[in-house]
Amino acid sequence: MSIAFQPYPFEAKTYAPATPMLRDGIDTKHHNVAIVGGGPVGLTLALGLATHGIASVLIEADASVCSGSRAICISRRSLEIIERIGALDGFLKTGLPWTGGRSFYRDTEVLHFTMPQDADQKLPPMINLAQYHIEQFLLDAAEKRADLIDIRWQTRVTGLVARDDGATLQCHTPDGDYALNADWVVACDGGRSTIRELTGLPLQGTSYEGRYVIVDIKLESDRPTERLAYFDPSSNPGSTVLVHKQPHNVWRIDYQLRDGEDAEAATRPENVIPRVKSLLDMMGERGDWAPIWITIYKANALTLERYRHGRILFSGDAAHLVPIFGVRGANSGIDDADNLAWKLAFVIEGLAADALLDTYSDERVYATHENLSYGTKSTEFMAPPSFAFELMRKAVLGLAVRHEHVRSLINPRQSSAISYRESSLNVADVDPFAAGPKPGAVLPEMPLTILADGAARAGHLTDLVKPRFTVLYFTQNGTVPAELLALEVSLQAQGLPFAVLPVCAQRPSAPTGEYAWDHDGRLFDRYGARVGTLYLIRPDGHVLGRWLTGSAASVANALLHCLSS
Amino acid sequence: MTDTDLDAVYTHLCNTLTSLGETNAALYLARLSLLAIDRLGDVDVATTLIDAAAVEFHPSEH
Repeated sequence: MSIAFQPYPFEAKTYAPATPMLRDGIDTKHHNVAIVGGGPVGLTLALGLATHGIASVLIEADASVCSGSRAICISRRSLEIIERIGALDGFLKTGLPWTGGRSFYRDTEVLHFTMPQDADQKLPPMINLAQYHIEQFLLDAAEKRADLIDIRWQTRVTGLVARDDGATLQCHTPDGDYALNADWVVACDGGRSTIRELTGLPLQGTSYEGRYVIVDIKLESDRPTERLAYFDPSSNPGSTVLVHKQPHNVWRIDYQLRDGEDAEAATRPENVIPRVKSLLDMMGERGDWAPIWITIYKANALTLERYRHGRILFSGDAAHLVPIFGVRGANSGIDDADNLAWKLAFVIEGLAADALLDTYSDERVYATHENLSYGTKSTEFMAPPSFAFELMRKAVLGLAVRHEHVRSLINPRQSSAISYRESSLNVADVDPFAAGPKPGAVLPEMPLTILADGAARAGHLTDLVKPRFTVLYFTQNGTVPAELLALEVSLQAQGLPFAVLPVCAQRPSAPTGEYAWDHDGRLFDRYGARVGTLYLIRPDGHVLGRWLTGSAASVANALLHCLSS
Repeated sequence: MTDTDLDAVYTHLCNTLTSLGETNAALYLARLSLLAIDRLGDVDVATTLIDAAAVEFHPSEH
């Protein structure tokens, strides 16, 4: 049987290595930040730093963006971050948006879930696109910031010496080796992180036994984009199968291997093709198809204990490995980068004490534990780790059609934004808010009208999140207390990125300045606000503190607490 | 019970069952059923549940 593989419908541009100017074998350029790994997380961090005016050198071992089947689901929270760093267009143009999924037990649909979606949203809950697209669109944006982002292709880190005030990286290229000094090194180099290996830091947690074969195929189909999960389907009895549609007629199929099945044999095309064919027949897919890529996957729930070690920081898979079920891998890495970018920028600019970077580790380790607690639930259902989980799952699936209350156990618990409930940066609520995001939470999306120098445009609340601290000041017609305006002037004069944004109940009539107008009156209620209410928002869009009647002093104190040790 | 609560209870049950081992599974679940029936305290509800659990019951074929 001859099996013709087809290539991915994507051509990656290859880049030559470039050796910088050297003196005594050392890069003569002084680097604030060296980012090791140019995948989605490294690129997001470089772009995030650039929005704060901070330069970085991005060290990438490969000659191009990635190939193969890796991250394929980008969440709404990630899209918000990607929009802020100026890379959204490609994602929305190419990505396939989706809002829900269906789970089947044998031939019966047992669950239809939807992710939070309503008319107030700017961005879809999730989009599907291959990681080569994810990297390409981030790279496109990074290349536009070549003034601040220096990408070193075909450069592999082979050594690391960490010091109290920075680190030296040994870099290997096909054209020769050199050393590079940086004040800060961020490891974004993935699951098999070189930096993590060189520092000898151990990952802690669990590795699951269950293995999945991952196959990408080329298939013409008009099926809508939604997550499909099949439990014990007639096409693959005793197995669990996941199907995800991707752009350009690429479909991803994941199916579980039985215990004891040999992984090497299982990934041979002659063993994969019949299973895929059987699945497609069952699904009623009649189009021609061809395999593109086959690999094997094992779920892990692992993390470093801390993500900051002196001048070395860890993000993404270099810091933690979470199961794919629930799609929290790439998405949590992008969230890591967003949390880190502003903190690193502020420390480098001298606007914050070094200790702010410890809160990166605290908040993101917390986020990892949240992600793992959902991810492990999802994994225990998708790849039952014992006879007991297998037995109980069978009971759940059998009961689900007639008994809706068990269906939540089938839900994959898809990635959602994390609230830093216990962060030391938060100013705890002292006022009795009846609604609205608590300190540490992200901002619920709401439509509003944005006025800039008299010109109005339709927008959303998340449009107001910028690389700065933002005060959302709830006002009747745009008037802001003099003390807040004075604070804004004073902080900006000190070089602190900060702005007061009036959120108006009535359309403001001022011919100049920037305002948000709650045109349908729901924003105030959603945020539990009245005139005088104030939300202080971090550069990453999380709430730092809120007051029913805010004052300049509360804001100043909150910032002092956040930025000093 | 919230979804999160149900998740926690379900996982606790699975872990407990795992630690008792497969040969003890049926007896354990029988004991759990009796404890639950007693706690329900209502003969009609209990009878309905006993019947509901038997409807569309799929014995293992694989």
